[in-house]
Amino acid sequence: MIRKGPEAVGEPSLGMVRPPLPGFRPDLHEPRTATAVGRWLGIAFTVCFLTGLWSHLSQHPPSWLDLPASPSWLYQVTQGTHVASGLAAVPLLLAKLWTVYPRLFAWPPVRSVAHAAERLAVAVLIMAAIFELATGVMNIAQWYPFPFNFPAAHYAVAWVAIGALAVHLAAKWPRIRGRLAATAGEPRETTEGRRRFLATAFGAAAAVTLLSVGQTVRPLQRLAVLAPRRPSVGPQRLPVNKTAAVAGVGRSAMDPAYRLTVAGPRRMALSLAELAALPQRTVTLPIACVEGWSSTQSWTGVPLRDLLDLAGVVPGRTVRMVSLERTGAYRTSLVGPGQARHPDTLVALRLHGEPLALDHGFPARLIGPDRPGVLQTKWLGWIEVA
Amino acid sequence: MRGVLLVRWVLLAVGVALAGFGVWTLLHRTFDTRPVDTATWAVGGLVLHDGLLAPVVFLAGWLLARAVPARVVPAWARAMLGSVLVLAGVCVLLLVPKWRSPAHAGNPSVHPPPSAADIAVAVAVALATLGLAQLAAWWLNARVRRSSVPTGASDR
Repeated sequence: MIRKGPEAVGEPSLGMVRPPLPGFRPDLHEPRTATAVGRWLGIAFTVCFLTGLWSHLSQHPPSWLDLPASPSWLYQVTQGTHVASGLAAVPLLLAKLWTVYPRLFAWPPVRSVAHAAERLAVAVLIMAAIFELATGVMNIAQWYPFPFNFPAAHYAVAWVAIGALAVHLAAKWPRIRGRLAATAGEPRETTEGRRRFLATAFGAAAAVTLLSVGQTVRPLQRLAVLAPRRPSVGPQRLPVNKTAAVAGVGRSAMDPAYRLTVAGPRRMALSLAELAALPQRTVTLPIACVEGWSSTQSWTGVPLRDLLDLAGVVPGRTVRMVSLERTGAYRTSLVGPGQARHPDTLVALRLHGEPLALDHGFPARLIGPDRPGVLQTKWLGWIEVA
Repeated sequence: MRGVLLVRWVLLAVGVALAGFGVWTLLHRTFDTRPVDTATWAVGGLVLHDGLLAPVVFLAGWLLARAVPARVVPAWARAMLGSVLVLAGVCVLLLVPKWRSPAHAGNPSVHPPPSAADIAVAVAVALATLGLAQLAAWWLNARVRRSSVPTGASDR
């Protein structure tokens, strides 16, 4: 049986006296249990990595990538999935670490160079996995007790985590293939104990999902007690990430002398009344935040392409939207040619037919399909060709 | 067998390349990533888990097993109690950042406090989810017990 294999838990070793290390019940710490949890944890991490990579590309689009404008809900779904799979991975990772915890006390600690390399790779994997989940959970709560920049460190360590996961799969591949070994012949209590353990791990993962996914799946929002946001709580029934007070734009946004400058070949400086006098369009689009919450709303404003046409900006150009904010990482955002010319990309003036609340970007904000929330620039003051 | 070997070598090569790119990114953008701080936090997470969280959970489990002896309390109740405590612990871990975060100051849309009714509904749904999972485990066990014909141990 696998339990009696060369890496069995607490196995007495020849030649060296095992120090008084803790002993563990074997049934919950079998390789088979670890593999059963690990399969789902691996799926969660892979999904989390790919959706995270998409989020990174969406926030920092390389020059060769013109992000799609359709489907408009793409980022809403990928980022909702990113955060949901990360949160579900928390109980799964804890369960996985619980099953392999006795290995920490394996004796002798190192049997060969290959064994040492494998242990080191596992340590890297665990460190990267804990780092990613911990910093991710802190970020969705907007709690930054660490000195590094969250997106940069979370992005770099994500590659380490997925790479270490592949190395771990390489090391464990024979065992993963052999996992389907029959339970027949195993003591019944062992099987039952393991099933109850797995039920706890998967049950907790499902419960965590149900108690948080309401931040993006609106019918479940009452249940979202673990999530930092609810899709309909905030001014004009929409959450706010950065308030006007924090951005320091209150005075300039409320100034009657406000003008939106479109710096094309024909430079225009439009007052709010002039913007409102242009042909308006109403669209239903989500604000989808990188922190996993999203909320679909009805927006009214001037299509960006109309403004670009008036200013003489030819199609095929990337444009830069600049906020009235003086500082801040998301003071400006780029709109690629595809999104800039999409009819649903608006310089929005109204939300549900009412003027935008100051915290939602009054007097004018960008709203476009399939964009991360931080790139839906608020308090627009300037539009230029990038 | 050669196929298995090939899969392992490909996984190893791809894994080292991906992790290497991560380390390169970490060291390439040091202004943002602050590699020493990032490494300290990564090692700190491992130490906190292995040195504090896991021993505490093991000790709690050991004490609980003695407080709720198997000969007195039925297996399903012990399993359910374990599930509830595990989920409660995970929820505490997930809620710590919410409690510590200063983000709700001046922004009532961050961490809107759930009403008592919302909490009650959430607890009921969580209990039902855990109960269903344990029920599924019980059902699988019962099915295996009915059809179990010992065929002897096999490794592969």
